[in-house]
Order: sequence, then C-alpha cells, then structure tokens
Amino acid sequence: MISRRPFLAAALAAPALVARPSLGQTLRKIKLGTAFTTTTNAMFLMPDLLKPEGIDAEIVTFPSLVQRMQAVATGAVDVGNGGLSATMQLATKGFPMAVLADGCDGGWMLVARKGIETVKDLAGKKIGVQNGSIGLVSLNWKLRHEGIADKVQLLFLDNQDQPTPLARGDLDAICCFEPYATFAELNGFGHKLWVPYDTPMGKTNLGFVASVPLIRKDPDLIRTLVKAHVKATNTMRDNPQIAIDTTVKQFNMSKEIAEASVKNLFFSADSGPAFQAGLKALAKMMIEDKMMDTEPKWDEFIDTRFV
Amino acid sequence: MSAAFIECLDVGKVYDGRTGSVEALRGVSLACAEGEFVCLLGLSGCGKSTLLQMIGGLEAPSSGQIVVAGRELSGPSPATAIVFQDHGLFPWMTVAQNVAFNMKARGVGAKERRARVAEMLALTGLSGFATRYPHELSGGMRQRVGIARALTTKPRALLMDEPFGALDAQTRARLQHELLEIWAAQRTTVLFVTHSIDEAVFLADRILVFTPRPGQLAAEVTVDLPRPRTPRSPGFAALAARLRGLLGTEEGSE
Amino acid sequence: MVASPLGRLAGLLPLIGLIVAWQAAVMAQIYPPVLLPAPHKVANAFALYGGDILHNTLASLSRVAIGIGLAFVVGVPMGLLIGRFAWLDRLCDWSIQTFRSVPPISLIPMAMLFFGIGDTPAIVLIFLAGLWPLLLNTIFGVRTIERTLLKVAAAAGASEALILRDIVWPAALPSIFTGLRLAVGGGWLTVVTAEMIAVKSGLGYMILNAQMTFRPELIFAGIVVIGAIGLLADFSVQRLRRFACSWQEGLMVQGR
Repeated sequence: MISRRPFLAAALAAPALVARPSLGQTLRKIKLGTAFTTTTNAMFLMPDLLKPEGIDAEIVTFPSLVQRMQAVATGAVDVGNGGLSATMQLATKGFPMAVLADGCDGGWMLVARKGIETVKDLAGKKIGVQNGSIGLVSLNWKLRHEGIADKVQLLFLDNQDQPTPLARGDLDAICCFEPYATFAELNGFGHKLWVPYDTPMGKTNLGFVASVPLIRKDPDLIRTLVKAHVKATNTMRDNPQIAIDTTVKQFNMSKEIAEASVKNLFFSADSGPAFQAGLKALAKMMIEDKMMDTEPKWDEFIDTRFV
Repeated sequence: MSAAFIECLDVGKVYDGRTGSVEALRGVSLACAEGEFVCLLGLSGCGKSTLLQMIGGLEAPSSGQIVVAGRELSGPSPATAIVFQDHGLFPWMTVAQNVAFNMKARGVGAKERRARVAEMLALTGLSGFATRYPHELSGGMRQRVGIARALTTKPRALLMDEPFGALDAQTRARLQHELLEIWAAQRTTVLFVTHSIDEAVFLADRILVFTPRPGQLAAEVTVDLPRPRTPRSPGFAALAARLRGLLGTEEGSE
Repeated sequence: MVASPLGRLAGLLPLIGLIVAWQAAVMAQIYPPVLLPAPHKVANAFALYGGDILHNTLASLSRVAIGIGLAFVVGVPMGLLIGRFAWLDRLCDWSIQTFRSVPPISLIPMAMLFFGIGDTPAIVLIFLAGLWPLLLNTIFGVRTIERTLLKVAAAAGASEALILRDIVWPAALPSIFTGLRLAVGGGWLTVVTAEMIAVKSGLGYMILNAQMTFRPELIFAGIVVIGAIGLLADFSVQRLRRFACSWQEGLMVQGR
C-alpha cells in the first residue's frame, strides 16, 4: 500500500490507491491522470509500455483542469499529465508538486469569428477561455500587450464547451485547446487569429508531474514512469500518425480535423534549459496576472533527474 | 291538489363497472306535489341517493325521464338545491362566503347576495358566525350552513341526501325540528333521503320505500299524523312497525 | 409546531458537531491545508471578501428567483388544467414523466446550444429543476379535491371559470405549497450546476473560480452560504404556506 504522506490518510474523498507490492503478484496498479485534450495523447501509450515493467496503469480522465491537479494532490491518481500553470499554483499554495519532464508543447490557439482580423479588433468583445489554464495566462499577456486587457470580456468555459457558443455568436473568439480549436476552425465557426507562442513562456504547456512526497517515497517507481513517459512522448513526436489515430479514436474527430490538429501539437520530453526557462517565464506571467503570489521553490519544483 | 312538481317516469340507472354492469335503479315512477315533504326511505344500496342526485341534475338516468317544474332535466335545475351528508362546505371560505356561493354561481349580484346571506343566517340561527370558518364549527352547525346555502337561491325543491346521518342523536333531533320550522316558513318541496324509519315518520308527509338489488320503489306510505310528532304519538309506533315490515328488517331506526 | 424555541435550537446540534469534527480534522492534519481550510480561515474569508460574497449571493438569488418564478407561472396553471381535465392529462402524462427524469446537469450542452451562454441558460436550467415538482404537486392537489365540493359546484351550476378560481385553486393551494418548497430546494440546488455556463457572478461561479485558483476557504464560504440560504428559503416557504392556508392549519389542529 503506497502511503501518501506523513499524515493519516482518512481517504474519504479520494478513492483508495490500490497497489499490491510483491505478494507473489507481479502487476502493480497505478492511476495516471490526464486531460481531455489531445495534448495528453502520449498518455494513452503508457499502459502498454508499463506492462512489461510490471505496472498495470489505469488512465483516469479529468475534463476539468483543476480536478486533475486536485486528484494528483490528494493521491487519487499517482501522477498526471498536468497543465503547468495549475501545477505551479498548487505548489505555491502549500502542496509540494514537482515537474518530472516536459510532455507536450503548444496545443492551443485563438480562434475568432469572421470580421475580426487582428487581436486589437477584440476590444469590446467576448472571449471564451478555460479558467486557470495556460491558455488564459497567454491570453492575458497578449491582451495587456495589445492594450485592450480591460476592454475585453472573458467568459470561462471548458475547452469542449467552447465551439458551440462561438458558432452561435455568443462568443467572438475562443482561446481553446486541441482538438477543439481545430474543430472550431475547420467547421467554419471561426478562423485562426493568433498563434499564441510569442509570449515569454512560449509553447510551455504540459508536463509530467507528481507530488513531492511520492517522489521521495518511491523513486524507483517514478523512474520507471518517467522512462515510459519519455518513450511514449518521443513515439508520439516521431509518429504523427499515432497522434492522428488517437485523436480520431478517443475524441471522435474526423480524420481531416485530426490531421490539422496534430500539426499544432509539439510532443517533447526535452526537459533541458529551454523548458526550464519557459517554466520560469510562466511563473512571472502568472504572478503578474495575480494568479499566484510567489514563485515556486525551483529546486524542489523542477526535478528532471529521472529523464 | 297541485300538479306534480317533480316527476320520475320509469327511471332506471345502470353503472358499467370493471366486473360488469350494476343496475342501481329500475323502473322508478313517482310524483311529488309542490310543498310536500317526501322521504325516500331504504337501506343502503337501494339507489335512493342515486335517484336524488339525478333529480338534482348531477347525473343522467340511463332510461326514463325526470321532469322538474314541467321541464325535462338536462342538468342541474335552478329550481332545486342539494344538501349533502358531508356538508360540502369549502374550508377556505367563511360561513358567509360559503352561504353566498350558490348565488354567486347563479350570477346573483353582490349586494343582493349580502342581503340574502344575512337573511338565511338568521333563519338558521347562525347570525353571529358569518366570519367564522367551517373548521371552527360543530357538525350540527356545519349542516345548518349547508341548508342555509341551499336556500339562498330560493329553490322550489330542497333535495337532502341523508343530511343528518353523521350527527349524534341529540343534534340530529334538534336539526330535524329546525328543518320542519324552516319548511313551514318557506314551504319548499323537500325530498329527504334517509335510512332511519323514525326520522322518516317524524318528518314526512309521504314516505317512498325503496328495496335494493336492483333499487326499486316498493311502496308508498302516507303519513297522516298531526305535527308535532314524537315516537310516543299515537300511530307512530304502528306506522314504524309497518315500515319495518316493508323494509324487511327486525330493528327500528338504525 | 408546538416545540418550544429552545427545542427548535436543538436542530443546531448536528451542525455544531460537524464544525467540531472539522476543526479536529484540521488540527490532526489529516488533509492538506491547501485543500481543507480551517474553520477560522473560512470565517476570515467572510470578513475579507464579504462584499464579493454578498454580491455573488444576490446574483444567484436573483437567478433562482426568476427561474422558480417562471416555473410557478408555467407549472401551476398547467397543473390546474391537467388535473381538472382528464383528456389533457392523457395527452401530457407520458411527456411529463419522460422529461422530468432528466437531470439538469446533462442538459448543459443543449442549454448552451439553444440559449447561448450566461444568464439565460442558467435560468432555464433552474426553471426546469423547479418546474416538475410544481407541476406534479399541483396536479395532485387538484386530483385530491373532495368530490362533494365539486358536486356542490356542479349542482349550483357554477361556470368552469368560477370553479377554477374559487374551488380548484384554493383547494390545491396546500399541495402547490408542497411543490413550491420542493421547487425552491431543487432550484437552489441546481444553481451551482447552472452557473457552470460561463456566467460572471454568483455563488456557483465563485465556488468554481475558487477551485481554479486553489482558494478553498472561498469554496467553503460559498458552501456555507448556500446551505444557510437553503434553510432560510425553506423556512420562508413554510411561513408563507401557514399564512395562505391558515384554514387548513386549523383543520389539522382540530384533528388531534
């Protein structure tokens, strides 16, 4: 039984972690948290990679960004593919989290209705975005940069809920993640207005994260998981067809949309200086946005030794 | 002898139920003169209530005709008014509002309603209770309200369906007296349904005896006894015994 | 209704017990404080953000008021007519039973498609949550009217309009209040779900936002307000019923 942390695990809220150490059983069960966007596609390859290592991985999907992070925090899932903005928030609010590796860069964009040609045209308009997400951070920066931050109405919706209001005209633009962004674009609900990677944090989006206590408790497990993650991510990067197939299969998107969408995904497990610089830039942007009060403890927060 | 005010010509009533049809009444023919006090007497299941409700226009006969004030019935006639056993007072209305209801339904104006309500309350001894609610009244008083309400539309016939059946003996006796007083004053025709022989002999000019399965008019008995009557009046006991025989029961009043 | 005021306060005991257990859990550090705040932190949140909380409370209240108000205006007249006319009941019954079983949260995508985002779909969801109890209880209230009362009306030759106004409506009122109590409860329960559709204010919005920004003391503050208002709303409906149906209360007292 993996004991989560020094204090008692009453575990009423979190489903109990089922892991059976070697009692003659070879399979060890763990739960992997993931989002309902294609940026986490690599996760779907993990179970097969982990089985030979004696780990039975179950994928748990959370459409809500925060629920995912909360699940990792409470131990409902062991590790997650997590939005780095949410991970950072958790870390600075008293729950020690660590980023183990990069996962996927990019994977979102701003799609706007006809008649809006530049970002400045969004003054006085309504933009849909997922609350707390990387998309929001990048959008806020851009709006401030263009001088229209106080002239725009931001409405919070989860990614999968954004295309419909855009089509109806209830929203003028959406800052949306794949595959829903491309879905909206190719269905004619809007056109690509801004590729959001020109902010200080660049394409920083998603990483492979876990709670610090877990890392301390079971570094071997973590090492195995990270290895598998790197392998899965690199496979995704080198074989776009797999990503396309996953998008079609798991998200029920058409082949055309899947192909276009995958072009906006940049799977990478490269956790070197560029990645880390991106994290630091992200932190600064979030503090400017008042989403965070302080920077995380970097030496604890970035733990790429397993890569 | 005045012409028949209420007439039933070979009236029958059949109910279609799940287990087949039930014949509640068969071939009932009767006539009531204006101003008469007629009792419909019988044990349960003999169709007397059904007949009364048909005369009141609440149900249509399956066969035969019912004629009231010279016209065949096609619904409730303004010439009649019904008093029910479970008084049928509206709990959310005051006594005055309850009494006024029938008039309101018939389209009588507010001013006239007020005057008539006061009159009827006085007649039934309820003058001080106009603003009370039914739940504040005793069983006997509630029935008085029901009677007052029925009289407001100046009906030529009062149809009463075992109105005192749910009351205790003393209250019943008092109300019987009061009813006779009202009747003497108003001279409406009264059709009174009961299963009590004593009650029938006490009240009626004429008693129509019904037997059950199917409901039929078995006999007609005229009551010549002078009023006021008591069970100790000469002739009362004999008449009661005769009725008992006609009904086929051992007991007297129930 | 005869309990002494002191007896009534006994209702607070379970809640006090809960707060004690909560404090104990916090002190024993069972859950990370970023997820489970201490009670005094929550109380603090009221002091610090009182204005915001009030603003959001009023926003939610107005949505529920409109939604339930609409449910009343639509559901009660419909219920009176359906209860009164058997043919109408036959026409509507299956539809009612089908639609009332659908939980509001599953209707969010459709609500967004038909009504857009913001206040309108939120109010629609609240409306639906409140409609069914009002409709069904009104129908029940009409169906269970004492038959003699309807006979009295028929014998007096009352018009359908008079019957509906003077008899059916007051007779059904106690049941309508039961429906109202359920509707208010159900509508208030739905407000958090309804406010997931991109609104900019409200207790549900505040709670969801607090989740996003890891401010658990606001989540709890929101929950506390929601609970308190639920209690207050129920209490108010009861009071209103006692006032409007005083004739019925009298009957019940007499029945003892």
